[in-house]
Amino acid sequence: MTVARILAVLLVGVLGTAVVLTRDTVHQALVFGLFGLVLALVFLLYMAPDAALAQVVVSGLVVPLLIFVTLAELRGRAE
Amino acid sequence: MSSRRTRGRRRLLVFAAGGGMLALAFVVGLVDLAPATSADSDLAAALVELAVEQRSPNTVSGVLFDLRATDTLGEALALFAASAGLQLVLRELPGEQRRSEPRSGAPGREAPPTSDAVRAAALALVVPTAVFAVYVTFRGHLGLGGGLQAGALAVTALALVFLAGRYRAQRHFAPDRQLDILEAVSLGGYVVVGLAGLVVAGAFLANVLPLGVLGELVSSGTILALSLLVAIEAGAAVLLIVAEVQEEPLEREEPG
Repeated sequence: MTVARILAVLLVGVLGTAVVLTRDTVHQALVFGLFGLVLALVFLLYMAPDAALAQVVVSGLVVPLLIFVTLAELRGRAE
Repeated sequence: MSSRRTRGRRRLLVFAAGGGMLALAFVVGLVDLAPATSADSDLAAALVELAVEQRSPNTVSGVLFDLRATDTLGEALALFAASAGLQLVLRELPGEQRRSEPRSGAPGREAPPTSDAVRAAALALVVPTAVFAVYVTFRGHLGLGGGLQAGALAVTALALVFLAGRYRAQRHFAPDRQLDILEAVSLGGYVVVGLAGLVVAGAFLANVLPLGVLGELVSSGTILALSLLVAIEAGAAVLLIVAEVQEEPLEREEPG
């Protein structure tokens, strides 16, 4: 359990850095969704399944959805 | 005007200061942190006792929709304010034409075709996601789920319909006007339940509905009712935000 927790927290750090370093916005939204899922895994490992579910739906689904919809609109405007 | 290099150095300096402070706060916080497995603490015991008393096996929901239901009302209000604020900022101004179709459907623009794999996967996921959303919606007081999560899952099911290239179907399921009403009524319902508690039991948001039997679908009194109301409110708010961004009027006529 402890090993899994340490690994998951480290993975959150790695993916968080990856989100910042990703330059392309579409890719960034994808990496951000992945980051949110790993964060949910951390919550789960620390026995907070309710927080994990909220994390999955907000960070893994709703936020990327909003970013994608906005990007689609912005690209339509640029053309 | 500073050169690009000194600006980069300044940025790094600001990052080092901020990051250093964050790291310090993190370490201090970790040292003081209570052990994660403190299920036998007095607080945990009191919360479990309260949850059983209110017939809500899910202690978290017992806290969210009973003990700290006022906090949850604040959170629901924040979501309501976010969607209302966005509608205000992106409202139709004189001289702007509201598009009835999404940009990808505008004439003269080649919409990149959605790949068949994405369509098939999205279509295949619509029904399971919708079923899961319903399951989570009605389970908040018994186990995982309820409230915001349920609403967001329902929105995901609709987003999958959109992803599968059925935009019209999605519009049909999510007409703005009705969503506005649904959002306002569900948030108002939350306050009404709270006021009922004030009138009947003398405390705002007191659990005044019949509690039922522990573990049954219809039980836990206002916990289930408030959880359902928040699910509707959150789902409508998120859907309205997405719809509003999609519909933002882009054509502005030049004056004169």
